[in-house]
Amino acid sequence: MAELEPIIGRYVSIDGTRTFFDTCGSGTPIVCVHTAGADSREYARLLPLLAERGYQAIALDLPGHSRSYPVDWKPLRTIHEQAEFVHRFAQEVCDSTPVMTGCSIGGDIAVDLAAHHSADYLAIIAMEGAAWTPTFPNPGEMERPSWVPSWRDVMERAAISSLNRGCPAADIEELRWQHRGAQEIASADLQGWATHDVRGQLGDVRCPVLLVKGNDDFWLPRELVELTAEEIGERATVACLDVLGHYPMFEDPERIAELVVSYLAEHVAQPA
Amino acid sequence: MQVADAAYQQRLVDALNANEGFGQETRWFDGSILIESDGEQCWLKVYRGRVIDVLDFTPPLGYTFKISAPAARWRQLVEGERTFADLVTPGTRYFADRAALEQANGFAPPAIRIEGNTLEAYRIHEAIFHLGDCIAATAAQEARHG
Repeated sequence: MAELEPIIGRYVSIDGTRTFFDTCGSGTPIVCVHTAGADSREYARLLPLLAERGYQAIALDLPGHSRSYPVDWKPLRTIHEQAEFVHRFAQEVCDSTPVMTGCSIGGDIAVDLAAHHSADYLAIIAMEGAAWTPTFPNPGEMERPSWVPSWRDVMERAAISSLNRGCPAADIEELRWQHRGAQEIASADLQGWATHDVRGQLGDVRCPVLLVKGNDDFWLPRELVELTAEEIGERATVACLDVLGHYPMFEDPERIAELVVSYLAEHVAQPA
Repeated sequence: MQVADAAYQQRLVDALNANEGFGQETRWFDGSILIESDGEQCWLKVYRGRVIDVLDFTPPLGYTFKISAPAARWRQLVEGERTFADLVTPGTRYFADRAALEQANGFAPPAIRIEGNTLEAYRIHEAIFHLGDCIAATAAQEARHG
């Protein structure tokens, strides 16, 4: 019989929709939020590493992605709507105060949660996210297959082009597969990214916030990360990392696991 | 990158016709692609997965879509300074200073523009990326060998 992996898939009802999540390990919960048009598989490499280090690592599929149905069968087109969903998920699933992390739109969701619910998290770690991300046009006119054929290729190329330049071919292929989801959902995710703006709402963040950026990524300029850190003030830390692109937890999970654990050890009072 | 140069054009055609991905993705494409760099032109007629004609001007037939940029932008692609996805996607992502950051605009024109029948261009989006790879590789080869 094959050896089973330590990750366990579960379902929970949030906002009346059946929502999937992977969970691994036990301890302080770390909720992980994936990128646009992808799903929890992006964290499959990171979850066991966080579990080995004494955390319960949880990665959900946002509504409409992979095994989670959309709420009322409609996409969520703003980062704030997604963030509120994730917040309710964290409250329902975590049995103690969690750490929140996410990447890309997940990073924006993490920053949105810093703006609106920071007291409910031990720490927030936003990878490839910021307070304001107007870095490409709102793709609302690309939502239907009849409006833009080959969306799948558009999405996949956008993803793999922003990996670090030395990324192995097998990883590039795997990331492509992770982005083969519903067009209207991925488009809605990117509509959220393009319109996301919580500038002026980060002056009262109550938990430590780590902002992580891969230096090979071009979708999120460093200046927008620095602007976000300035708004948060002394509770913010910025880590700009070489040989990483737009998917740090997928590209170098060991480095990200070490970064997360060392950051939490330094900035968060550890439970007895 | 001398896109109107006959030797360059032949190398590009050879590269495209040897590129498995370009052939696969244009299997059901019947159209023409104009490449422009600082006003120089390379017109490619593509039919069922192969480039079947090349010209250094736009014929009366016109083109299905055009991919154009100043030479400096093509150079960024050839030298690997920026990716093709970055260059063809609208929006400002590079800022000289804080004032420029405040003017960030997701709808700013891309560095390399794709114009014409963009619906058809989207349909063969993957092929266009293979074309970008071939343009860069051919130009790099040209730079090495003169």
